[in-house]
Amino acid sequence: MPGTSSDNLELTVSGGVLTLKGKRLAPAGISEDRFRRHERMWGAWERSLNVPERVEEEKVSAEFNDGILKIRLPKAPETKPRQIQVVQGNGP
Amino acid sequence: MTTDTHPEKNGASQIPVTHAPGPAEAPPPLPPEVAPAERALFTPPIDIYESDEGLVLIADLPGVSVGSLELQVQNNKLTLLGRVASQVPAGARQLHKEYEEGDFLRSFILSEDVDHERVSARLNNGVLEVVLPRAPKSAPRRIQVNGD
Repeated sequence: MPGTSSDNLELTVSGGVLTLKGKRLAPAGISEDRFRRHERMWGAWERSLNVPERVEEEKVSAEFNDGILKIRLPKAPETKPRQIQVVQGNGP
Repeated sequence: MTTDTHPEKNGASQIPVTHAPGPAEAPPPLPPEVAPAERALFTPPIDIYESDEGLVLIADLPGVSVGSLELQVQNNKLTLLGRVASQVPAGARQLHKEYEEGDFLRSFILSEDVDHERVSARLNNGVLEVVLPRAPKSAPRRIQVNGD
Protein backbone atom coordinates (compact mmCIF):
# COMPACT_ATOMS: atom_id res chain seq x y z
CA MET A 1 0.00 0.00 0.00
CA PRO A 2 2.67 2.51 -1.03
CA GLY A 3 1.66 6.14 -0.82
CA THR A 4 -1.05 5.58 1.78
CA SER A 5 -0.55 7.74 4.82
CA SER A 6 -1.10 6.01 8.16
CA ASP A 7 -3.95 8.48 8.81
CA ASN A 8 -5.79 6.85 5.95
CA LEU A 9 -5.34 3.32 7.24
CA GLU A 10 -7.82 1.73 9.58
CA LEU A 11 -7.40 -1.65 11.20
CA THR A 12 -9.96 -3.37 13.34
CA VAL A 13 -10.03 -6.80 14.88
CA SER A 14 -13.16 -8.27 16.31
CA GLY A 15 -14.74 -11.67 16.64
CA GLY A 16 -11.90 -13.43 14.84
CA VAL A 17 -11.99 -11.12 11.82
CA LEU A 18 -9.27 -8.62 11.00
CA THR A 19 -10.44 -5.82 8.74
CA LEU A 20 -8.08 -3.52 6.86
CA LYS A 21 -9.40 -0.37 5.25
CA GLY A 22 -7.36 2.19 3.43
CA LYS A 23 -7.45 4.98 0.98
CA ARG A 24 -4.81 6.34 -1.36
CA LEU A 25 -5.28 9.88 -2.52
CA ALA A 26 -4.67 11.16 -6.01
CA PRO A 27 -1.86 13.70 -6.35
CA ALA A 28 -3.39 16.94 -5.17
CA GLY A 29 -4.24 19.62 -7.67
CA ILE A 30 -3.24 17.77 -10.83
CA SER A 31 -5.96 17.65 -13.44
CA GLU A 32 -6.53 14.45 -15.37
CA ASP A 33 -5.38 15.95 -18.68
CA ARG A 34 -1.90 16.61 -17.30
CA PHE A 35 -1.17 12.91 -17.01
CA ARG A 36 1.09 11.53 -19.69
CA ARG A 37 1.06 8.09 -18.18
CA HIS A 38 -1.20 6.63 -15.58
CA GLU A 39 -0.46 3.13 -14.29
CA ARG A 40 -0.85 3.62 -10.55
CA MET A 41 -4.20 3.28 -8.88
CA TRP A 42 -5.79 5.23 -6.11
CA GLY A 43 -9.00 5.16 -4.18
CA ALA A 44 -10.41 3.25 -1.24
CA TRP A 45 -10.06 -0.46 -0.58
CA GLU A 46 -11.04 -2.92 2.10
CA ARG A 47 -10.08 -6.44 2.97
CA SER A 48 -11.08 -8.81 5.76
CA LEU A 49 -9.20 -11.84 6.96
CA ASN A 50 -10.15 -14.57 9.35
CA VAL A 51 -7.74 -14.58 12.21
CA PRO A 52 -6.75 -18.02 13.41
CA GLU A 53 -7.96 -19.07 16.81
CA ARG A 54 -5.65 -18.47 19.71
CA VAL A 55 -4.78 -14.91 18.72
CA GLU A 56 -4.84 -12.40 21.50
CA GLU A 57 -6.91 -9.69 19.90
CA GLU A 58 -6.03 -7.08 22.53
CA LYS A 59 -2.36 -7.45 21.69
CA VAL A 60 -2.56 -7.14 17.92
CA SER A 61 -0.17 -4.42 16.76
CA ALA A 62 0.78 -2.91 13.43
CA GLU A 63 3.54 -0.85 11.88
CA PHE A 64 3.69 0.86 8.52
CA ASN A 65 7.07 1.38 6.86
CA ASP A 66 8.07 2.23 3.30
CA GLY A 67 4.55 1.47 2.13
CA ILE A 68 4.40 -1.97 3.70
CA LEU A 69 2.01 -2.74 6.52
CA LYS A 70 3.11 -5.33 9.04
CA ILE A 71 0.57 -6.65 11.52
CA ARG A 72 1.56 -8.82 14.44
CA LEU A 73 -0.99 -11.27 15.78
CA PRO A 74 0.40 -12.71 19.00
CA LYS A 75 -0.65 -16.20 19.93
CA ALA A 76 -2.71 -16.54 23.05
CA PRO A 77 -1.11 -18.76 25.65
CA GLU A 78 -2.34 -22.31 25.36
CA THR A 79 -5.06 -23.01 27.81
CA LYS A 80 -4.18 -25.75 30.22
CA PRO A 81 -6.52 -28.70 30.25
CA ARG A 82 -8.74 -28.40 33.31
CA GLN A 83 -9.38 -31.45 35.35
CA ILE A 84 -13.02 -32.03 36.08
CA GLN A 85 -13.65 -33.83 39.21
CA VAL A 86 -16.18 -36.57 39.09
CA VAL A 87 -18.13 -36.94 42.23
CA GLN A 88 -20.13 -39.87 43.30
CA GLY A 89 -23.77 -39.31 42.45
CA ASN A 90 -26.60 -40.08 44.76
CA GLY A 91 -28.69 -41.94 42.27
CA PRO A 92 -29.46 -45.57 42.30
CA MET B 1 12.31 9.34 -29.02
CA THR B 2 11.54 5.74 -28.29
CA THR B 3 8.27 3.92 -28.32
CA ASP B 4 6.59 2.11 -25.50
CA THR B 5 4.25 -0.83 -25.27
CA HIS B 6 1.98 0.94 -22.82
CA PRO B 7 -1.12 2.63 -24.15
CA GLU B 8 -0.83 6.38 -24.19
CA LYS B 9 -3.43 8.94 -23.41
CA ASN B 10 -2.07 11.79 -25.43
CA GLY B 11 0.14 10.21 -28.01
CA ALA B 12 3.65 8.92 -27.49
CA SER B 13 5.27 11.59 -29.57
CA GLN B 14 4.25 14.25 -27.02
CA ILE B 15 6.07 12.58 -24.18
CA PRO B 16 9.55 13.71 -23.37
CA VAL B 17 10.06 10.77 -21.00
CA THR B 18 9.63 7.37 -22.52
CA HIS B 19 10.08 3.88 -21.31
CA ALA B 20 13.35 2.41 -22.50
CA PRO B 21 12.64 -0.57 -24.76
CA GLY B 22 13.74 -4.17 -24.45
CA PRO B 23 17.49 -4.58 -24.18
CA ALA B 24 17.97 -1.29 -22.32
CA GLU B 25 16.06 -2.82 -19.43
CA ALA B 26 18.47 -5.66 -18.84
CA PRO B 27 19.15 -5.61 -15.13
CA PRO B 28 22.58 -4.51 -14.02
CA PRO B 29 24.38 -7.21 -12.06
CA LEU B 30 23.52 -7.05 -8.39
CA PRO B 31 25.95 -7.88 -5.63
CA PRO B 32 25.44 -11.53 -4.69
CA GLU B 33 24.53 -10.75 -1.08
CA VAL B 34 21.36 -8.88 -2.10
CA ALA B 35 20.53 -10.87 -5.19
CA PRO B 36 20.12 -14.59 -4.84
CA ALA B 37 20.04 -16.22 -8.26
CA GLU B 38 16.26 -16.65 -8.40
CA ARG B 39 15.30 -13.26 -6.99
CA ALA B 40 12.38 -11.68 -8.81
CA LEU B 41 12.66 -8.35 -10.58
CA PHE B 42 9.53 -6.25 -11.06
CA THR B 43 8.61 -3.32 -13.26
CA PRO B 44 6.99 -0.81 -10.90
CA PRO B 45 3.82 1.00 -11.98
CA ILE B 46 4.40 4.69 -12.69
CA ASP B 47 2.54 7.90 -13.36
CA ILE B 48 3.93 10.83 -15.29
CA TYR B 49 2.29 14.21 -15.23
CA GLU B 50 3.16 17.61 -16.52
CA SER B 51 3.77 20.38 -14.03
CA ASP B 52 4.48 24.02 -14.68
CA GLU B 53 8.21 23.39 -14.38
CA GLY B 54 8.44 20.19 -16.36
CA LEU B 55 7.49 16.61 -15.67
CA VAL B 56 6.94 14.64 -12.51
CA LEU B 57 7.38 10.87 -12.46
CA ILE B 58 5.88 8.83 -9.64
CA ALA B 59 6.69 5.17 -9.03
CA ASP B 60 5.27 2.73 -6.49
CA LEU B 61 8.16 1.02 -4.72
CA PRO B 62 6.79 -0.66 -1.60
CA GLY B 63 9.53 -1.88 0.70
CA VAL B 64 12.21 0.37 -0.79
CA SER B 65 13.92 2.87 1.49
CA VAL B 66 16.22 5.78 0.67
CA GLY B 67 19.22 3.59 1.45
CA SER B 68 18.16 0.79 -0.87
CA LEU B 69 17.25 2.93 -3.89
CA GLU B 70 19.61 3.75 -6.72
CA LEU B 71 18.56 6.43 -9.14
CA GLN B 72 20.85 7.53 -11.90
CA VAL B 73 20.91 9.48 -15.11
CA GLN B 74 23.43 8.36 -17.67
CA ASN B 75 23.49 9.01 -21.40
CA ASN B 76 19.96 10.39 -21.40
CA LYS B 77 18.69 7.35 -19.55
CA LEU B 78 17.11 7.55 -16.13
CA THR B 79 17.31 4.24 -14.26
CA LEU B 80 15.72 3.37 -10.97
CA LEU B 81 16.66 0.27 -9.04
CA GLY B 82 15.02 -0.35 -5.69
CA ARG B 83 16.09 -3.24 -3.55
CA VAL B 84 13.59 -4.79 -1.21
CA ALA B 85 14.68 -6.51 1.96
CA SER B 86 12.79 -9.64 2.92
CA GLN B 87 10.00 -9.07 5.42
CA VAL B 88 9.97 -12.67 6.56
CA PRO B 89 12.49 -13.37 9.32
CA ALA B 90 14.91 -16.20 8.64
CA GLY B 91 13.59 -19.45 9.98
CA ALA B 92 9.96 -18.32 10.03
CA ARG B 93 7.43 -20.66 8.54
CA GLN B 94 5.35 -18.96 5.87
CA LEU B 95 1.67 -19.84 6.17
CA HIS B 96 0.23 -17.73 3.38
CA LYS B 97 1.78 -15.95 0.42
CA GLU B 98 0.15 -13.72 -2.16
CA TYR B 99 2.97 -11.59 -3.40
CA GLU B 100 6.48 -12.39 -4.36
CA GLU B 101 9.40 -10.53 -2.94
CA GLY B 102 11.75 -8.94 -5.39
CA ASP B 103 13.47 -5.77 -6.50
CA PHE B 104 12.16 -3.00 -8.73
CA LEU B 105 13.83 -1.89 -11.93
CA ARG B 106 12.72 0.47 -14.65
CA SER B 107 14.44 2.87 -16.98
CA PHE B 108 13.34 5.77 -19.12
CA ILE B 109 14.83 7.70 -21.98
CA LEU B 110 14.85 11.40 -21.20
CA SER B 111 14.31 13.87 -23.95
CA GLU B 112 16.60 16.81 -24.52
CA ASP B 113 13.93 19.02 -22.93
CA VAL B 114 14.83 17.72 -19.49
CA ASP B 115 17.45 19.60 -17.53
CA HIS B 116 19.52 16.63 -16.40
CA GLU B 117 21.47 18.67 -13.87
CA ARG B 118 18.38 19.67 -11.92
CA VAL B 119 16.62 16.29 -11.66
CA SER B 120 15.58 15.77 -8.06
CA ALA B 121 13.80 12.98 -6.21
CA ARG B 122 12.00 12.19 -2.97
CA LEU B 123 10.93 8.87 -1.49
CA ASN B 124 8.01 8.73 0.90
CA ASN B 125 6.00 5.77 2.17
CA GLY B 126 7.28 3.61 -0.66
CA VAL B 127 6.48 6.15 -3.39
CA LEU B 128 9.25 7.75 -5.41
CA GLU B 129 8.68 11.16 -6.94
CA VAL B 130 11.19 12.36 -9.51
CA VAL B 131 11.01 15.94 -10.71
CA LEU B 132 12.32 16.43 -14.24
CA PRO B 133 12.55 20.16 -14.85
CA ARG B 134 12.36 21.51 -18.36
CA ALA B 135 15.66 22.90 -19.57
CA PRO B 136 15.49 26.66 -20.00
CA LYS B 137 15.17 27.62 -23.63
CA SER B 138 18.39 29.23 -24.72
CA ALA B 139 17.89 32.85 -25.68
CA PRO B 140 18.46 33.57 -29.35
CA ARG B 141 21.94 34.86 -29.88
CA ARG B 142 22.51 37.60 -32.33
CA ILE B 143 25.31 36.94 -34.75
CA GLN B 144 27.11 39.92 -35.94
CA VAL B 145 27.60 40.00 -39.66
CA ASN B 146 30.70 41.79 -40.67
CA GLY B 147 31.34 43.24 -44.07
CA ASP B 148 34.74 43.20 -45.68
